[in-house]
Amino acid sequence: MANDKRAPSWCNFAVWGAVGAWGYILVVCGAVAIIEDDGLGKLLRALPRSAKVAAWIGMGLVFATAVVGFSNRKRPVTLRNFRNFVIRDVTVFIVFLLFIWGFSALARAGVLGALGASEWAAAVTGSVLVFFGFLGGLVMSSIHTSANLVDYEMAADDMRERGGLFLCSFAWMVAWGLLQIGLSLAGSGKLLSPGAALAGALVLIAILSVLGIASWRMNDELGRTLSREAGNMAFYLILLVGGGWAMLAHLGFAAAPAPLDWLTLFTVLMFAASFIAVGRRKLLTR
Amino acid sequence: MESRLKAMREGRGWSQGELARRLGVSRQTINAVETDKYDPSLPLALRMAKLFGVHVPELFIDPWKPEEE
Repeated sequence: MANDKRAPSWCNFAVWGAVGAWGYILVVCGAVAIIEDDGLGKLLRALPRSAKVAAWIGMGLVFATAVVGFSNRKRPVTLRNFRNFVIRDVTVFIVFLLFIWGFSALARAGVLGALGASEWAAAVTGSVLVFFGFLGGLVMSSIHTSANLVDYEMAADDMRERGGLFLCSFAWMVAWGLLQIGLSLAGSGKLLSPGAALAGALVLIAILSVLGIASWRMNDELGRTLSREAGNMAFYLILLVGGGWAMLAHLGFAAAPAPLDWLTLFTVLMFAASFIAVGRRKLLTR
Repeated sequence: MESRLKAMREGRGWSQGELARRLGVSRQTINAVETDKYDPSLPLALRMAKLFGVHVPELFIDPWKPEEE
């Protein structure tokens, strides 16, 4: 007889929190080892001496444990779920670390020209979008194979039935991410000339428009409602954050936002608004 | 708004996917309506009522009452 008793959520929280803690430790070790020569050795030597370094690392560990534990509290601890978590998240982190490593190496070699904070922020935001777009594509293609990376069969069925919509959405994320990365590398004395960057941006904007229209048409009324709610929310967030920044800059309390900062701000707040809109309707929980 | 969609659907022996297919919406929309996370548009509510052969107020219960004069 099947045992349909579910483990209490605190039990799931504890197990997934431990997985998150170990993942965090591996990521921190991997990141410092990749970014700097003898980075891991330096970190281990600094930990007992510097209370500040220890506090930051400790806070990160608590945060990673809480976020992974809380967000997975309703996810049963099974071998398949654990495998999916490891494959999906390890893929993200490895690709992300490789990107940071590659970008840092190119910047150190002077290939990218002078990169300011705005360019770095735009490039990192863009690469996060590209990674998640590719990861979504990877998860989507896995549902057609035996390596199904989706935990819930019903969610996998939804993805199979609405494959076109998911594909358009992930492709849209990748295209937007590439736009951000391309613009961060463009300018006089940089990797891309302004003319080439503009030509690339126009092509990407055309692709984004086609994908956006296709997604809107494939969505049903719930998706369109969420899209409208996210748009409204994004407007007020931009007004608050962007307006607040502009006000502080005008009064001389902060540096004025660069044009690329505005683009990054729009991107980040647009996705934040989407999460808020979906979360407010409790659609992020099962 | 309280929805009686789940009871009506189960009464017909339909899955969420089957009802979604009949109404031309996604399964997530049906799930969101059944769990009171989303109030359907008037056209969709009318289509649902028509499909089950009931009136909209039998499908969706709104506790609001007009003030007595």
